Amino acid sequence: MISLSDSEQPTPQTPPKKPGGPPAVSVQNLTVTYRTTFEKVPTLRSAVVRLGSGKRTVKEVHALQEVSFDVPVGTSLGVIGANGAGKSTLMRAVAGILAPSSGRIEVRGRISSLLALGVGFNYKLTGRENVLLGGLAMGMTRAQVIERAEAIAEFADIGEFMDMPLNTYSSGMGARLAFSIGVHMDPDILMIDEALSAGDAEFKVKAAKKMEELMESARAMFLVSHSLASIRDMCDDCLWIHKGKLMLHADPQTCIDAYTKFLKVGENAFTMEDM
Amino acid sequence: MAQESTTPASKRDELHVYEAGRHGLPKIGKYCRELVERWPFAAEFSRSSIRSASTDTIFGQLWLILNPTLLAVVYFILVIILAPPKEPGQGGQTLVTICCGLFLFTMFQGSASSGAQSVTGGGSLISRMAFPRLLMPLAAVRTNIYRFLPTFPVFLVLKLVLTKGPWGWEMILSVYFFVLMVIFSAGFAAFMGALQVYFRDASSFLPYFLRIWMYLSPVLWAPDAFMPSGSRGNLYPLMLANPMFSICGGWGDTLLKAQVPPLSFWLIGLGWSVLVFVIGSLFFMARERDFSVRL
Repeated sequence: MISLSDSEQPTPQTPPKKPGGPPAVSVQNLTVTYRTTFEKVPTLRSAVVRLGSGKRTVKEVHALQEVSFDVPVGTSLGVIGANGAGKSTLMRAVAGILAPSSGRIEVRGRISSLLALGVGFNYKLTGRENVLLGGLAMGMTRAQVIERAEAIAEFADIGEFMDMPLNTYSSGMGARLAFSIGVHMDPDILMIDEALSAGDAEFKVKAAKKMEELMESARAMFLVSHSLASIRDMCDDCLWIHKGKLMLHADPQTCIDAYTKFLKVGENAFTMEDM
Repeated sequence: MAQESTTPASKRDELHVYEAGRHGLPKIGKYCRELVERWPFAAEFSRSSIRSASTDTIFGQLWLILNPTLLAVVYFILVIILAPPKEPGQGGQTLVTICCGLFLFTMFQGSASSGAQSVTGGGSLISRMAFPRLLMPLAAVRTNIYRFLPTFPVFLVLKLVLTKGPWGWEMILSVYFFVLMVIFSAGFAAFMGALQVYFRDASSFLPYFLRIWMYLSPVLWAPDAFMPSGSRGNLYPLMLANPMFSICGGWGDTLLKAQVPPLSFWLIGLGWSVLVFVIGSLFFMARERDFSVRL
């Protein structure tokens, strides 16, 4: 496991490890606001029907508000928070999937993201073809992906299923394959969203080991998880997000304590002084 | 996405910057560079969709030929009944004319409808991966080009068997109108792809719209009557408002008559194609940042 920072003095905003050099990821005053529809299926028909009534079905979602933090090279950053806090939005913004409404994100290196697990691009295609598609979408060359395909299959332990269509996979196999793709793409920055719930106990151990190994070559890692224990074990820096706002940026133990306390006392009784 | 990369001397120091775009548009130059870099993905995406539709098997290929050919026969019967041929042998010419236009228009139709589905159908890719989204409709167009290609020899064989020609070097000029059709299709597919995200029933209206468009274009009929010297030449300016009049007209002139199409077809076809491509792709790019939260 990555060395715990329990012993270190919590120094928010300036996490320890490898000072100097530009941060791997720098998020500056990031605000993400998007408009989305609460219609189940937006259709022209319903838009026309709605015209007369003057009703609007678009609502603004303030997913993230003025979030700033730096991730120095060599950090593994845990992100915790309740459902809907904006954790996934933050990951998607850093991965470049979602555009900021204001603010700036600087990323040095290639990001491999394992967002909301599942490889499923096309369930009619085989595992190998999906691996190729995923790799190319991440910006690798064909040769690079083909070179890694065997290692990916072996790590995911899916055997001959690699050449079977995805719809024949069990959910565990799919999750293992997704994880395996993410860690084999030589990521500079690895982003894992709830990935540790992938697979059985044996795979979890293997996955944790692989991530530890990756941290030696990767520049930074993001881990989004509801499992506070795995955040504590694997990360040396932590963000706690609540309702789109960055509540605390500190070492994992401090964050987890504050978060659990917050969960216990509830939102109303909570003030920042309580920490 | 507005993305900047400093000279990638080393891949690891590549700096990506994500910021809010101006007018919702990403920086065009960078976007285009990304498009070119990630093209292998679009090509593979298209190849895999061809594979999963098993069109790379013999019977799959056969179906690609059979399907538009049967459609051509259906229209042929319709045309023969509505306007019986006055002299023997004219029927063959009619069938070849129909095949010529219909095969190309089928490519456009296919691009438009699979382009419309490309964004909404690419759900998990779009919500999990960062890449220029324009690759999705472009991949759909690529797929439809590959579906069109095997039908072209069928046209040539039919022309050889059923008509007395003419053949000539002018037929090579058809490549120009084919390229115009591809550009036009790409722009239209991008536009429909973005529209479909907001109105999921847009693709239900599309087939009717495309069918009407086909009847209004020189696909099943030759454009001669509507040319300035033709019997209904007064409609010529109106006809030019239909991009397909120039593109399909030029395509038919070169391939069926082996003659150089009038200058208006060259210029107006080019104008329409570029215009639709620019509008379609800009509309798509301005909206694409919205896609991942709308799906």
